[in-house]
Amino acid sequence: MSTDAERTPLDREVDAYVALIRQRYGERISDDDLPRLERAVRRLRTTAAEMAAFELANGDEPATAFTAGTGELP
Amino acid sequence: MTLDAHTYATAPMRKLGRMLRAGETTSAELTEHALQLLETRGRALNAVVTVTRDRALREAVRADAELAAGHDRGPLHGIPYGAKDLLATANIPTTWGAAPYRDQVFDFDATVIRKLEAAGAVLVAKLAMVELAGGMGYDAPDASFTGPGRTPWDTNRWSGGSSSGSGAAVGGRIVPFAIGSETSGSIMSPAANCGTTGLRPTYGRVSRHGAMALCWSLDKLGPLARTADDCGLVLGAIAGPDVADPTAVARRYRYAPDSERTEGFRFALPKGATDGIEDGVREAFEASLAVLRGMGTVEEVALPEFPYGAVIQHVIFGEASSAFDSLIASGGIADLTNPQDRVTPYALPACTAVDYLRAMRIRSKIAAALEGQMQGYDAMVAPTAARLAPPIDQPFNRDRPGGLPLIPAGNLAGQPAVSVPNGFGEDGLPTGLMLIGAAFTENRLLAAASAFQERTAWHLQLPPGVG
Repeated sequence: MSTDAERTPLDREVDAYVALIRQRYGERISDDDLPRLERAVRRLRTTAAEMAAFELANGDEPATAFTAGTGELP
Repeated sequence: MTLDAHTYATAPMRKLGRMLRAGETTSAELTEHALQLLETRGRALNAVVTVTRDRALREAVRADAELAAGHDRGPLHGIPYGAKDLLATANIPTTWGAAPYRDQVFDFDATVIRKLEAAGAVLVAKLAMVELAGGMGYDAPDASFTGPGRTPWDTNRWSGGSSSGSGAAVGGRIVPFAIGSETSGSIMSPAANCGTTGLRPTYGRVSRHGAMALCWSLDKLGPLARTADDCGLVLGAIAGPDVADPTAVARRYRYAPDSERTEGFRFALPKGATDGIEDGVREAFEASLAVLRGMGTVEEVALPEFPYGAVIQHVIFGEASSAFDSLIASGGIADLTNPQDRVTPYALPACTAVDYLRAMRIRSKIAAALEGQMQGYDAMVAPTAARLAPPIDQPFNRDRPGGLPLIPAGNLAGQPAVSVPNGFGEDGLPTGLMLIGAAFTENRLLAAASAFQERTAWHLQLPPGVG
């Protein structure tokens, strides 16, 4: 078990999301489920950070109405 | 009229069609073969959810009567097939591979099912799949209420997923073709693990009306079959616009193998395609490269750098969490089979709207970059899967994916891909060669895959005890 001082910003972010999720769905998540939940949250926040490091400009639009072959809004 | 088991197991669709029209077999006979194999080999492989016997026999009788009367619906007329159990079929259960939906029955046929019926094909089974097409984060082959899908090459190894039954039923020579779906790898993976040919069409090429939604912006339907030519024949029947699916593109599709070249192809080989992959997969791929060089040119290219895995994870998680929000909110995921599937969906607050939109913004750049890179090439080539089929009783090791992220890349760009058998690794497990094309270039891709199959015999090999 790491101490508070040893915990990384990612660890603390994962802790915060797990606490929120337990507040919302607590009765459905057993102690046995916790490692699985923490793993899922960690993956999402790790990959979110990976995406955040990718540079985007204000005008870069999402592929929300995706058209194959162009990647642009129709 | 007695169709021998070897012919049933090996004949491509055109040969079966010739036999039907020459009176050497009947659709009823083909269908009886399929029904018998579904109940035996199909059950042993955990490939089957529902055998649609009554509907199959009705459609087969009609197919034979029509051919006798001179009404020929084309190359699929009288051919039996199976459909992944996420396609709605009127008055037949459609379970989505998941216990919470095991009693679900629709009152209509999915557009693909309807089109195949119009083409004269005979639906013999609803085939097994990973629960909810794998969108809940499963971490082991057992993630289906029908049990882990088994590859016909070694029943202790996984068939791949999420179109597990479609792969096993075609690879096990139970049906000549099957329909699968792919969000990110769900046709390619079972094609490789089961030693079949699989086609992932361009996003929007095939209507998804009546198919379970996992991820609206990524889901695609496509065939698994014995040859690339068979896949083209099926695509010719199921592609096209559909007013019921706004993402189905307006452009018409015609499978036209005779108008495509058979050599002189230009292949792109992404740098690092064999990094971190298993020895048997690498050896098969290197042997395939020699074949591809005999068909044209192979040029090394650099795959554009993007966080492909991160982007597709957030696109799938964001959309799947919404598609199944009522199941999650009700606690119904507790009835899913795989323990990880029962927990991962609760992590949805950790995928924010901003994360999803960032993923979709990066996706636009990915699509543009990959389409641009395909200019000047007929296909990008790589091993379909970095590893041979894993044991059915062990969790996946997602920390060792191996190879390049071409499956997420191609799916994010909406590009078509074909996987063809290209050898065997350790323990006689099949390997796959993947060819990825620019959007809407299925005919060129299928021509290249067919040319490869003209020069090799991997797709003709039969699993132990078959045929």
